[in-house]
Amino acid sequence: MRVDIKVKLLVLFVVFSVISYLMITKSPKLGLDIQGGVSITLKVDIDKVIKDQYIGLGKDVEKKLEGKAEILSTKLEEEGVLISLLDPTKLYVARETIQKELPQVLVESRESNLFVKFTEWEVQRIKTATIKQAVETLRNRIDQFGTLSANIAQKGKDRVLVELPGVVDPDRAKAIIGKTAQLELKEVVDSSYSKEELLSKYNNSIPENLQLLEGVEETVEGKKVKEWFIVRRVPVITGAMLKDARASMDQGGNPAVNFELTSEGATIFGEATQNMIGKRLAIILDDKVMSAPVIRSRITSSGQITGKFTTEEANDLAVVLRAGALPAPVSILEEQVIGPTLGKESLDKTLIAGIVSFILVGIFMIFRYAVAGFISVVALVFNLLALWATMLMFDITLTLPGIAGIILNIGMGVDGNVVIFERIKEELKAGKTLRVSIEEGFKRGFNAIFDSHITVIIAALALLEFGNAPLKGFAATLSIGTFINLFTAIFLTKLFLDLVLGGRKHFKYAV
Amino acid sequence: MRNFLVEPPNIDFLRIRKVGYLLSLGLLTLSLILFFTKGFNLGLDFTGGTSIHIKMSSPSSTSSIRSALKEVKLDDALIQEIGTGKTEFEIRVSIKKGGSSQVVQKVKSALDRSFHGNYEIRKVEFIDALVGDEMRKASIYSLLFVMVGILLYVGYRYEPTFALAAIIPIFHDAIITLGVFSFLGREIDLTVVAAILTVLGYSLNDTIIVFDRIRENIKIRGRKSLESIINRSINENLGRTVITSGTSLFAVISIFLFGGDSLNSFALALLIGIVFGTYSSIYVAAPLILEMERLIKSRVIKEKPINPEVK
Repeated sequence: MRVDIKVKLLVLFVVFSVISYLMITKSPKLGLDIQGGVSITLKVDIDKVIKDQYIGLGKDVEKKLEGKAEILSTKLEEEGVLISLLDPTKLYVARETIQKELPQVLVESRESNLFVKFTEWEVQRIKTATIKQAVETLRNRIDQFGTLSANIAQKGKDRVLVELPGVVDPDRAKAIIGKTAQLELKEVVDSSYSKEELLSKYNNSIPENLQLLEGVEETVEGKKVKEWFIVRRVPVITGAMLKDARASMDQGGNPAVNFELTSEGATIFGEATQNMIGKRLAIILDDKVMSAPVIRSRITSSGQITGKFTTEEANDLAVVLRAGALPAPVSILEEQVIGPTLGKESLDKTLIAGIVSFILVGIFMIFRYAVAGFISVVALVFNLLALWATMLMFDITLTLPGIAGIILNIGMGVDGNVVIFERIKEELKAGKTLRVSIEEGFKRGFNAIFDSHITVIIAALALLEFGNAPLKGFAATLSIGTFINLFTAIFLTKLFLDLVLGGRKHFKYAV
Repeated sequence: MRNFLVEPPNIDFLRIRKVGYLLSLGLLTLSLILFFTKGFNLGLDFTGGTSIHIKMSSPSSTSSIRSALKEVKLDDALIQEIGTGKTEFEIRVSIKKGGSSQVVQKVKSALDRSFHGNYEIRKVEFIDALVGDEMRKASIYSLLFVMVGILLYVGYRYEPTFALAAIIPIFHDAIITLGVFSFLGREIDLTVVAAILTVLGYSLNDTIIVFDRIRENIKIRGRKSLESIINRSINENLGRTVITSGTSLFAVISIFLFGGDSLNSFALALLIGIVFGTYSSIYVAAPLILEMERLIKSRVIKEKPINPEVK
């Protein structure tokens, strides 16, 4: 045996060992379309975060200019804050001050006003931080919810993909991940069961420092009623100061959620409630007043949220509060709920398709190319094993279209072999010996095979970029398979042919 | 059969290329007419909405499901049978009727009343209209991306005339595949777009193997008798072209017949695409090289008299 063949065999042996090792030690990651589960894509309302930040920025600017330039008004605009000064001659001073104190903003003069906005870099930073925090919070919530092997990942610029495999109640999953869970405690200024009456007290224009919120719908004497509240905009306490939240019962025995504040929160809360005795405190969840009890005495570290909860809802709310609020409201853009039976059924069908196509292709190759055909089938098996091992190695999720990609590899994978084998036949016809013909066939076939494989990979790459999760699986198997095939068609088949040919001058190469 | 096409046939593909052009132009025109008159049956991925896949424990019909849905005012939903067992159905509700939670709840209550729980919800899909629009754009961009990518690659590896001659048949394959989908009224979803992308790559694969042979033969015999070189190259490669399309079709037909409903449209698009891709690489791509070469030559000849002194 020639030395180079020995080396090649050794390499083959090592590769084969790695493949076997991977196949024994790891199991494939199955997509939701196969194992069933819930997949939800959420859109994080990043624009709202930016807007909230601008509200904060307006206040910052006011503070920085105190004593330097008096402000006539601050107006929130689409992409910044417009500041009018009482004395326009102080424009330059004000501008210098803001620029010096707040490096993350840009200040422009607009006529006799100042327009303050975040730098591009700052906007980007806020966006990135928001989406990152959203992913973190969702991960926390789902961890507490107790779903194993959930996948939570950022998708695009403002989206989060949540995948919960297995049997999951979609409504409950949505309640847990879809809730912003922004808990706020605010002082009630006024309330009424009639929105119109409440508004008319303020001549239909509520001052900046107050806000109108709706309460929970209740049934009183068979009629559905809802209380409306005017509360102070600045909260006494927010969910950020929560230490713990647990499901419990209220005095009437209904499900409720007890919460406990951090020591910092407790100090603030104690002081605030001290001054609020006799007044009502609204407990607000996502801009809805859950309840508004009257403060009877100073409260420090704990409180209770009541509402019309079921036990499960109370439990879930506690989970969500413990995990923290999302940095911005989210909305559901895409949702998929797949029952476990459908996936199993589809998997079985696809596997049958794979086996049928393998048998058909195998029979044909052996029929047409005899010994060489058999060799190409062996190479094809190796190709599939290597593809499988690569998927295991990189933890690529196997989806139904992904399996279709593997099946296509069976059909398209022999292409390289066919190009070479047909070429060998031509060379043989030209009167060359088998050994020379094989060498020529491989040499001349290489270019065509290389170019044609690259084009399939170009198409697969486009899919990897734009497809949804199942299609990414297809793009992965198709491109990896095609790539591996480039090697098996050229090196592996050649090695086997050389081995079979050995010292012989001829064997039954086709007819 | 075992040795078919081992001996290269001597078919004068270029002489009959006009027939190929006519057939292709005819199919293209038909496809385009279908695009504008019949349009496409776009899937949930592109329209947005809620799709509910149910399985009944005993055979039923779309009309009985529709009458059940009347009670919750969802009888204008699209209801279609999945497979042929008369037990599985898809109910598709427009995005205007609200989010998935509301729709699923309504459908559940309607089905509970009419079928007393003798059904199973196998799959629920919801896509926001915003995502549908994005998917549409992304699909078009990715098709363009692949075309440009291919154009550049073939232009780099071969000659610009070859690149143009390779890209035109690819457009042709994509348009005809979409035309057949429009004609059959089959739904076009993301998997179909994926299949068309794959076909673009695959069809080019066929074309490239022929082009590679043409390039090789030009090197041996020179450019002069391009017509006979192209003919010869197609004929020499015919065996390979037919065989590899055949083995790919084995795989695709297996998926089409046995692969289940979720991969059915995908396999159909591949099937149509591979058949037309093979046809176009023989009857469209290779003859186009000849046309392009002639076009360039006639330009050169026409330009000559303008500058007769320049030598």
